[in-house]
Amino acid sequence: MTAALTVGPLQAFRYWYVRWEEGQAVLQSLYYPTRWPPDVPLQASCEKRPGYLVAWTRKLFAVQATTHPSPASECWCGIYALKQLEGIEHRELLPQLYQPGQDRGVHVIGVVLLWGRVIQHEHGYRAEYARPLRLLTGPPDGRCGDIDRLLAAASRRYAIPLVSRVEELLYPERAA
Amino acid sequence: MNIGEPIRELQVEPLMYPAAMPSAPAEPHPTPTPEPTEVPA
Repeated sequence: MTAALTVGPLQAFRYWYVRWEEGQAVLQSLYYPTRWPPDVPLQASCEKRPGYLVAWTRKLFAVQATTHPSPASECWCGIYALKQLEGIEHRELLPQLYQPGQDRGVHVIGVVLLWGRVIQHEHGYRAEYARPLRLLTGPPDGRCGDIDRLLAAASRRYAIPLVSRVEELLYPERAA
Repeated sequence: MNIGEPIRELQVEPLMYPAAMPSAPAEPHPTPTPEPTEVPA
């Protein structure tokens, strides 16, 4: 990697799993059960997520896992986001129902603001701080009422707009 | 999420959430002007 470069605000794309939790809409990361706070930025942390057996052994013997500031260049931790939407099929840009176990929610793509220490990758970033900026809902005729209510609740709780077209996701000033 | 190989490290300045909000500038305290005094003729 080359030396650190100081740049201005950075926007990128990522998916969230949006679901109900105790009557409130929650934005959660897809691959880890990280809940995004509605009122403060999310700060990355590295837990060097171990396998179940390692985690159980550490807990049994009260051994603390070693951590480091996140993101680190020698690790894969941090808040992930994509530089571009190219390569993502159109149907994958629209909210997708997701129902793991008894949970029920929706996968939604949106724009995220990144800052702090950021590791730039070929196709994306790993960031220290992040805050959601916009969520893509897709056209209203392709959604059911449950999704609409959930996304509207997420929009209110996180104080972020919902946009129905990919163009508005990229260029919010073009919103009708 | 496949983001490829790392390229470089960036220090990104925040737009909406600065680490510490700058404190409001202090109100200027104008020097009080002395009351005009009448000079006896």
